[in-house]
Amino acid sequence: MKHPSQDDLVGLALGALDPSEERRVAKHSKRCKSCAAELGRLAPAVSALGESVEQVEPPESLRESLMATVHAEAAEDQVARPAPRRRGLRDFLLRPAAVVGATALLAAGAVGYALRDDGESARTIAATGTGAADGTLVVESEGATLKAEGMGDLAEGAVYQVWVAEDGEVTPSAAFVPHADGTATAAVPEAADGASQVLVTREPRPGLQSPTGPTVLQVRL
Amino acid sequence: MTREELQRLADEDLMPQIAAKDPLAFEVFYDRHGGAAFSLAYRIVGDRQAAEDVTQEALISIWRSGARYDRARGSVRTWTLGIVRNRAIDALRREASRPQRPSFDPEDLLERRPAEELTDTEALRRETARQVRGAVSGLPEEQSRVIQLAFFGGFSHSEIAKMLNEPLGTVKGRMRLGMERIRAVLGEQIGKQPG
Repeated sequence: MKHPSQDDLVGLALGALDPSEERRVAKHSKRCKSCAAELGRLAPAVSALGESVEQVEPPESLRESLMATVHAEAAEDQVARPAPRRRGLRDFLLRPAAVVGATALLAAGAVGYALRDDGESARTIAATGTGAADGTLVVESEGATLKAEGMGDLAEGAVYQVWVAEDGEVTPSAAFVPHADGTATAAVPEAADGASQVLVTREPRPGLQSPTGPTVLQVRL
Repeated sequence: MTREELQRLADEDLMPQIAAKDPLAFEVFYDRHGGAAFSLAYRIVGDRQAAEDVTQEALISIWRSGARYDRARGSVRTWTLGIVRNRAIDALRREASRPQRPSFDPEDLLERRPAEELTDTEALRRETARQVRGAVSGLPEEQSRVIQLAFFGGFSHSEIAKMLNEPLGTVKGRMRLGMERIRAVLGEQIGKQPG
């Protein structure tokens, strides 16, 4: 077995190999104890490079945005976990872990019925946004329409991606780029029935099958 | 678990709580590593908004895949900064068709801006970072330059060789010698620590 050179192991540790070299050296190192051990000896020095940068305080908006996404997804996760068959609403509400999600569902339901009492066939549900982003989801029998505003500029090629959560699964829906004034309208036909949430994330490109970017808007149905 | 209980956990014991989708555990994780993650992203992409986006993407990926952390592959801090570094390099590569940075200045990469106010909990890490920075800046310039181009710029051996108009073997050798020197300095510092 021909071992990679020490230069190549250092290159792998620093991410400095061309893609084909990287695959070759990484594949070898997974099977070779001595090369894996050498990479292990290099790791503290590589880690030290990451630690060596001057420390700057992150903006508070980073924490707020992250925690909004994390709490929303945790609530979604709790709601999505299968409950015992034919469990009643009272039992569901008494489960401590479900409190956050159930409260949100009740709040959303109250909005929906109030609007229905007005004789409207559509429900208008307010979205929760991060930063300046805001919007509403108009749900009708044939589908839903997302109306967004305050959507920030995107990098070239990037899009806002709409996702529909249902039964713990998140599927992609429309992708859009907002107008210059930050507004946008997107059809979300998948949100008509059975969906529990509609989310909008910022993504580097359209066509992704699962979210990778930060959540910008969230609508609980 | 309460926030206080989570704060008493070691990083390695916090990760299973994050994998179990406990948002409080993630808050504790962020308070420990968010600053370092943002600082590294900022150093690489050189723009606060872009650094915020990179950090958010990286940390959300950890939240969504916390179960993938394997303590055998190093500390949570190292794992986290590795993810941030990869995301930041990806962002650099996305941003443009890789301009060649002809006016590269190692000092610019080394010190992009002065430190802002730091929390007390970051004080020790700051001192460690200062010592490591000393080790890196103490390298011969030609070694420091190739290491920083690779780690903070995301350039490969061959790209660096072309950029600096140096033979590929020379670039590889300088990188290896520089990393060996950093490793040796770190070893000396560990040896000097009391207790």
